[in-house]
Amino acid sequence: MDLDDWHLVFVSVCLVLVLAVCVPLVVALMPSREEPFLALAVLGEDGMAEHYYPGDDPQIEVGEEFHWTIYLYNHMGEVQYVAVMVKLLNSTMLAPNSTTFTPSPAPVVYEVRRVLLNNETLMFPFSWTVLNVEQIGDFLDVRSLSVNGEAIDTYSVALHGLNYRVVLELWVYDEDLGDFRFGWVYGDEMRCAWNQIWFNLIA
Amino acid sequence: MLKKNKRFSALFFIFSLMFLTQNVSRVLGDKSEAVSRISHAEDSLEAAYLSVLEAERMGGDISEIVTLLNTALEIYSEAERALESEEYDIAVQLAGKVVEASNAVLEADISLMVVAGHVEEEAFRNQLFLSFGAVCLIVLFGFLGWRLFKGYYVRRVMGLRSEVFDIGS
Repeated sequence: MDLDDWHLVFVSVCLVLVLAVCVPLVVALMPSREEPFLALAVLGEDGMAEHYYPGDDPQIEVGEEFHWTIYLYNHMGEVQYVAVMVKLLNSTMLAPNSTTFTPSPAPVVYEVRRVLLNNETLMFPFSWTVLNVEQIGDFLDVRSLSVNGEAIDTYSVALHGLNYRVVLELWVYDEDLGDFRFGWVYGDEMRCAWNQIWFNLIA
Repeated sequence: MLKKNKRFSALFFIFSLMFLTQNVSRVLGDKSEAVSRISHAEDSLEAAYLSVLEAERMGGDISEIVTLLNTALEIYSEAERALESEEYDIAVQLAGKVVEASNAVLEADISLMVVAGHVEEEAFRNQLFLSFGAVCLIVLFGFLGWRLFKGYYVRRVMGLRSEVFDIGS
């Protein structure tokens, strides 16, 4: 190797060392390009997205108890004040709309409010039972539910008790609005999260 | 006798009405007070959340204060449940606790949280200075190293170079 080759080696080694020193700094200085989001999920008895009903049979009876878990994750880049609204719908009631960001008009049967730190995951137990049902001709009317040990009056009618659904909506506190809203703002766009699990009720 | 009975019935009716009105107004009063206290508690929670958000944006470490806020939220849920089950006294009591907890969040020394948050900022500043120093050292030692190496190389190569002597002289 002649002197020019050695010069090249020296300069290269110096550049590599400078890069090695600067890369962590540049990474820390670079703005995050990740999209902020909130996640909502309902998990079954084993804490997985399965086995929501015993024997995976969604034909349920009055008094039968189900142990689910509500999963929440905050990746919004800052602390968030959120509320999970639980609603009981039949097949004809309007579900939340992810295009217009409209929540379901059904009444809230249970509500969980939490403040989540950035990157925090929250698992919240959600045990429920249909307590009282009234038969009106061919229709079944769910008159009360028990959620986490709390009895809640409700009103939801379905033909032969078919196609009921438990709907969970994620509402986020909007500091500009000064209130909760269904979904959250990302740039100029809106995002929302909701979940539904169907069941048929046997009187 | 009939007249007497009528008078008695009228009096009884008036007293019953008074008693009923009094009780109804007491219950309605209790309910409206509970509703108003719970609404106040909700406002306090929102104010507390906004102060936490501000503290975080200022670089504060808010993890402990968020735990306190979540405890207040749990009590708030209990207050709402008490209201729904018409236990107005309990609802009022719990709403008071929510306001207390929210005030504790509001009164938490945000400057202390911000100081804690500044530790991270300081670590980043230190990293910046250290990196700058390291780059300067690399450049300096690289330059000096090159000068030394070049001198050594030239001496070695020049030392090996064959010299031409004039034998004829």
